[in-house]
Amino acid sequence: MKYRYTSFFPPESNVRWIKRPMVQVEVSGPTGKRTFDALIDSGADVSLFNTQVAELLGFDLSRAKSRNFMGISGGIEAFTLEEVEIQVEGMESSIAIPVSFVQTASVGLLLGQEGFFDAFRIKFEKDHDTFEIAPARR
Amino acid sequence: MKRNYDLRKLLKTHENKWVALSRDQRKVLASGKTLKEVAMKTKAQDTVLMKVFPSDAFYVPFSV
Repeated sequence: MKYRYTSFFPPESNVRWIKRPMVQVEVSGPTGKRTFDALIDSGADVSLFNTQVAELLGFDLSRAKSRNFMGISGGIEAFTLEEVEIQVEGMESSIAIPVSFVQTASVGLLLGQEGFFDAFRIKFEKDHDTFEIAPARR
Repeated sequence: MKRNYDLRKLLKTHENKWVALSRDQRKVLASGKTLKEVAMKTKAQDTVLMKVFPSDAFYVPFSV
């Protein structure tokens, strides 16, 4: 399925917009499910969700595996659950992917390589203002 | 209704907040400092939740 890039306000006046590959995903947790706009990030090793998502959907992070992450300007500790169920809009079935939860203002929901890019074949065509997601053939 | 993919104007006044958008992304139904607060305000509604980042910097995920 093809999706359009989403435009956000630019930080500089000489730039018209910032375009990001955002997709709506329904995240299921122990206490409910909600739909979020998530950023697809091919440069991220894993998927990262803000810890507020865990709090909202009832994920217990006290038993989650602690992992260290190195970002563009430092390191941070994250708590990883091996199986979080997500349903990508336009896809027939949900998938379970590992998600690391981080307590930082700079992450909402970010879909990275491990799990997400294994389950889907993703083709970015920014020159056409589109990207494509299709189930990966196994 | 067709989905709005241009969020420049819609999100301009909601920097650094969580927002709940209508499914077609044409309206901000609620916004707040925490996700829980926004989710509670729109509990029964069909919404899309999102974190809005500041507009004065380029976004590189995971800059702490």
